[in-house]
Amino acid sequence: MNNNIISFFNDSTFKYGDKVALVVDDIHYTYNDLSYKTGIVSTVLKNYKHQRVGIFGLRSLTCYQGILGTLAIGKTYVPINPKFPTERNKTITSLADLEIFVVDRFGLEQIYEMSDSLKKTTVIICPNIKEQDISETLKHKFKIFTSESMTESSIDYHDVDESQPAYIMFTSGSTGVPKGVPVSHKNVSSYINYLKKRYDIDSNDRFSQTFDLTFDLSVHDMFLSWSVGASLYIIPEKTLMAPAKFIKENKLTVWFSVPSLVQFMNKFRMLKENSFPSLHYSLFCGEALPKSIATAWQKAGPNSTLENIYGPTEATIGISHYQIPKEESEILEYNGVVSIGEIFNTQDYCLVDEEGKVTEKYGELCLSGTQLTSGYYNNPQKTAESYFKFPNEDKSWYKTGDIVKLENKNLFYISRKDFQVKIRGYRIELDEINLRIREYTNCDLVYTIPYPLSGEVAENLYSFIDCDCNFDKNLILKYLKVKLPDYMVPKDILFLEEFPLNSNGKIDIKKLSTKIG
Amino acid sequence: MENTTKNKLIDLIQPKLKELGLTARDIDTKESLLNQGILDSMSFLEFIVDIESIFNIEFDFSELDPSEFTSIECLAALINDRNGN
Repeated sequence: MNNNIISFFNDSTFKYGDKVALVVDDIHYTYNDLSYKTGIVSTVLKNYKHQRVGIFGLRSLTCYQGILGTLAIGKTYVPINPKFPTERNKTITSLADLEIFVVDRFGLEQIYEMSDSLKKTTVIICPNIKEQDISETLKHKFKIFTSESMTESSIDYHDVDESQPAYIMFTSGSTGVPKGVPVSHKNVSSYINYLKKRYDIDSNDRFSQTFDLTFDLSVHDMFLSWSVGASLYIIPEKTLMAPAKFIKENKLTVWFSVPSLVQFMNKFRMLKENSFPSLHYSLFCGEALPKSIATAWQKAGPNSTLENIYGPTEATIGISHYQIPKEESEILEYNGVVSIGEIFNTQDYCLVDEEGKVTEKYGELCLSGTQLTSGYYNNPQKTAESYFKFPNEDKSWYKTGDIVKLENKNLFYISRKDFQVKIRGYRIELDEINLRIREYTNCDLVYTIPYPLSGEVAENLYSFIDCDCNFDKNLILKYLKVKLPDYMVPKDILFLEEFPLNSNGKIDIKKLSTKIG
Repeated sequence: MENTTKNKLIDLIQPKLKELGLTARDIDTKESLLNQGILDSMSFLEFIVDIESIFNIEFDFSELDPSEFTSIECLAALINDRNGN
């Protein structure tokens, strides 16, 4: 039973059955409760041979019992986000060849919209939806399980091969096609076991859960907290906008979010001195952490140890950390951005130059070790572009595309190799946006820039189009909203008579940004 | 007084409504603007910045839950409360 990451949860259920494992919408579920609910999903799932199970919903009880229920019987979960456009979710469903879904009420709405594109043999499992709330159309089309037909719960754990994927995360791809990253049980165990030893956490801790399940940092929240018998507090979607009251009322002890969320909280004066005395650890990941944000958070949570974590999905959740000193002047930073610290001592890294030769102090960060995934799902071409081996070596490496420098044993993020940017923690490939605009307008001259930009974190995106293109910008924006997730839709579209060029004849991004009003 | 606060707030989101092809009549003033899909969390915070400068007030978000300030009615009540009405 040791390979399956469900054992992190399972062992705690054995030890701390009556303690709270999960809090969703003010409802507390003990380890025993959640284990029972997991069994309800497993009981249905195990009658089907499908290896991959879509988890279609928004951080709801259904999704957590779906994830655990899928893993328990040795299957792989694929999270799908109802906040993303139907088109994107259709693509992921077809790329992952999904025929069975665990669905909450938000997922159900989208399943309804995409029902024509689903296979006739599709099975929809709705553990918390009543039969009367399912439309007749869906009932006629697919095999549906509802709360009435899901009354049995059996705990029947299966062990897995350590290389078997626990989940597949889809990330944005430059050709407009999302790439699936299968992450194995061994990958996740390596990550969780490392952090479990590093942090002083136990069954009395209360963890935040701010990340959507389509973001692999959610795996950290779930499995690190459950591995020590702690409680996981799901911060409701609406509350994420102003979570200060929630942190205080629930006396959270471990916080984990993207820095942008803290940036908002700071902007709206939510980080008052000693606002969050209960916090013991505060972790940040997903994008560059500005030093100003770290110090503002430290003031609000004076008893908290702050860590900046870095890592690509391809090397499992996070792979380096920097413990931020409480003394402001001691914080290591570059261009106002906090160091990403050292690679976990259980994993390997190297820096390479443009030619792929290993360098000492500056270059593209490459990663290897037990957290390294084996390549993109059914995509040997993309795998070959990013995963490699050195001559005469059997070990696989992943090229992160991140340019870093090494100074005093600590790594510092410099930039994306291919000018990829992040908005609210999501990786953006600007060309994917340009592609969609070109597709709709047939205009060739389209350029999207992040603005304002600090490090790799952008606040907004702006797209520029040649003014010969006679399209209403609201129509273009409307089209983009259908095709792209919210965070990829530009804030505005501007029409230009002439694109400013630099001395190399390339579009001058700096001059472009001056056109933004 | 309350009515004018509400109207001012609705005026403020007119550009957003236009973009969505909606009019002031389509807003449910009792329902959260986010739930109605009129604003997302980003544009809502921009909306708050505008409100604070126009009404010359500051909200204390460290003590408020978003459900307490995301509808037009709740916002108007908060604003009137701050202005001593």
